[in-house]
Amino acid sequence: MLEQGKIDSRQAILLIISLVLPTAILTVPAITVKHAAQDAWISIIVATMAGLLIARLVTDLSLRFPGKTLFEYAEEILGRVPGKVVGFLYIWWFLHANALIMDEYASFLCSAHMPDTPVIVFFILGIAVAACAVRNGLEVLSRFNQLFLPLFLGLLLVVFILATKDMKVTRLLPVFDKGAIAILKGAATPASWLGEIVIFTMIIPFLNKPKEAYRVAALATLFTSFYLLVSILVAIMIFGPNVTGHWIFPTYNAVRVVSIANFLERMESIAVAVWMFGGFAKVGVFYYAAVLGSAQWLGLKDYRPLVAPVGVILVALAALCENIVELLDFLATAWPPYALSVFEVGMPLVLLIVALARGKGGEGT
Amino acid sequence: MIFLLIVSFIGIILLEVPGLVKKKMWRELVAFSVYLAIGMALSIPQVLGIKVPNPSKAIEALFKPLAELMK
Amino acid sequence: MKKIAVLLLILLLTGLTGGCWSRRELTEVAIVLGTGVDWMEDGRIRLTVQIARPGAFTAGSEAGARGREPASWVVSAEGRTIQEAERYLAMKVPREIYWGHCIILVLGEEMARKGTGMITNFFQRDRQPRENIWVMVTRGEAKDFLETYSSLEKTSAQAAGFLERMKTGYSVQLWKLAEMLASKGIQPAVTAVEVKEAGITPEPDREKKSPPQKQVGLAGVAVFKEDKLIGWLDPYETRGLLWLKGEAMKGVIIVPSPGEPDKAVSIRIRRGSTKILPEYDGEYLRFMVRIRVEGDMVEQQSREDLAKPEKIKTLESEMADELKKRATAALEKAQNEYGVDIFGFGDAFHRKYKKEWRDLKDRWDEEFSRAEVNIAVEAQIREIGLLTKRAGVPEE
Repeated sequence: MLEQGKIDSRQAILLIISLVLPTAILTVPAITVKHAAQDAWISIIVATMAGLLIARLVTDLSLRFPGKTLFEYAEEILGRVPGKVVGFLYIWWFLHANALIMDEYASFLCSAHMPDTPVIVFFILGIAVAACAVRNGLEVLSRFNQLFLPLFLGLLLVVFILATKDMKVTRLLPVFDKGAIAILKGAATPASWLGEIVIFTMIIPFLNKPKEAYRVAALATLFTSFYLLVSILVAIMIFGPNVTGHWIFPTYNAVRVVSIANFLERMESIAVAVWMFGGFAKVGVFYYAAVLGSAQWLGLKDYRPLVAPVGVILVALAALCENIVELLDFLATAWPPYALSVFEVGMPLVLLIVALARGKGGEGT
Repeated sequence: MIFLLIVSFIGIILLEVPGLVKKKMWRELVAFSVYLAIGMALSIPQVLGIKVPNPSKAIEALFKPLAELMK
Repeated sequence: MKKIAVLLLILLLTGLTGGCWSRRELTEVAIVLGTGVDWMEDGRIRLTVQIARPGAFTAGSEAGARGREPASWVVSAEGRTIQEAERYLAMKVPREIYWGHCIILVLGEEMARKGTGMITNFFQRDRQPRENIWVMVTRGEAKDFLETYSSLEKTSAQAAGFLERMKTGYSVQLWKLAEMLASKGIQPAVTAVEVKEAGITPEPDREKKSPPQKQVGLAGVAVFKEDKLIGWLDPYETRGLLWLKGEAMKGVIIVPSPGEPDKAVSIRIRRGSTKILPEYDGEYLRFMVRIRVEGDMVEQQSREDLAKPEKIKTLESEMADELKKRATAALEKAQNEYGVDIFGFGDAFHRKYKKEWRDLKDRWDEEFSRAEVNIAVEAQIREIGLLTKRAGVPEE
């Protein structure tokens, strides 16, 4: 066993929220609103359905193989070589996704807060912090997350409540303006974010009560969707669908607009500070999945020696991003099919079907 | 810049390798070396100003038909 | 060995974590309070900034009101873009220009006629200026506006900002303007301001009485088509615009006294609401505007006893008429003179008829100009102050 730690269901829920939410409220609202305009909230609801199905799929698959991660049972299901191929692809995806996450964060910080700081500094510092957490194992990562995520969520909610003054419900009308296709297009991006729950396959074996995995996955997905829904509604009700689609980070702008009695204002610094913790947690989970997966894929006795080299790879990959326009274009167009069709739905589904057909693994609980 | 990069690679090697050698974890040592080599291959050219192809571009090309639907 | 490695890494990291990267002390920044943009003959723009002089903002300077240090410094520079002008400005301003506290953005009349979109873009795109900057158009040049002195506030930018915040007239912040610019169902209306004579500062020596000072003030509304200025509404029509947009809710309505029409009664508005109900049958476009208003009687010039239910009823219907007159004045100007929908009727239409909107949205302004608008006002008087009759009138 590479990982001795165990985490409880609460920590797991919080960890999955961190896995999706921090970047979801950063870049997803603008992309979804661009497609579906004021119906973006319907897109989120559609995406939530998809997210719940993916969560169910992933949990079903994992529970057939108690105590094993995706990398271990992929070989058991498909055989040695195809299993290794699947494992390799997942390692790549964890690394690539993580590089994109860091790019999102770095461009956000650069364009909104620290224009003079080179992005590489954000990469190195972020990875250094995350590396410490990952080296210490899942338990430490979960505790760090348990400490800061409630702060992040609480503060965000307070800011949203303060922003109600500037909201108008009429900005959500008319409903179904752009039609079903636009709503589905808008749903693809949030669905691909919620589908990142596929990393849960790396965490389920370390739950102290694996039986609660379904509940954990469903609750985490619903909670994440709720926040995503609220942040999109807030942005649309403040700016209207046109302007929301024009911003790159509408949620951030919504926070900036909050002004209570010319006294309680300019709160974005606090919001960004807390947002950063969420970013570390998200990077940390992907990082952990890549490192643990690599160790299992190579059949190592310890994953810790890989932490530093993987960190180097992550920084180098993240530094390849040329500019924010490339990044946003990739996230809006290529990412949803890339993530959804292969890693979040395609491969887990194939694995589950083959497992059922070959009768591999125990009955799921 | 390149100097800093090499210093940090030496730092990482000094941090991990002695422990692995002492515990005779050869498999881990090989994995470590390979991963670090990949990391070096990706980072050193960037620091030297040599253009490294971005894998996102390849993925974009691969998923182009599906990505068109998202426009 | 391990210790050396850790030490090396720590050394490396300390280089990166050395505190604030882009630290600026207060004495190193020039805080912009107000920005003005004018269009120059040669196709360039002139950027004028009003910079705060922090020394004048400390409490001590308040004491000697006479020998008060000027609180602001106004400088201009020209360029093709705001940023280019800012760079030329930097050659005169010995500190780093900081936009984060900019309160107002004033557009000169000529600039507004050339287009506002190219100016507001910078203020939305850059991270420093805030979304809640008050935007206004001045009759004349923005430079003059910013160079004006303020007797009550420290600077004219603050004075203009407070005027807007009081909502005595129509006021608009950058993010609301952005929404108006981005929507086809509404054309932008921006606060109009001007420099005018406003009061004097009394001197101890009456002989040395100072001449009336020019100060900043509100002057109605600037009407835009897309992002170009096409005309103005005067303060009276502005009240009508506010009612049609459902934004007024402050102010006074003057109506004739029921028994003595040559004497006036003032009614202070307490609250109000506006509903726009579009009706469309594929050809004929009609809007029902329902305004509801509540007010208190605060002033009476006539001698009659108004504290009677039937008199209040009469006052209420007169109040409704007056309000309708205001709204109609604004509406007629928008429909007949300028031909633009500055009220957001198009947005209201879009909310109700989303399919029809697709056909109409590109020629909305013409449709709007032809549309029939029925304004129905329902007025209510709640309180009459502390008096029943006008005091000092002998019993008859």
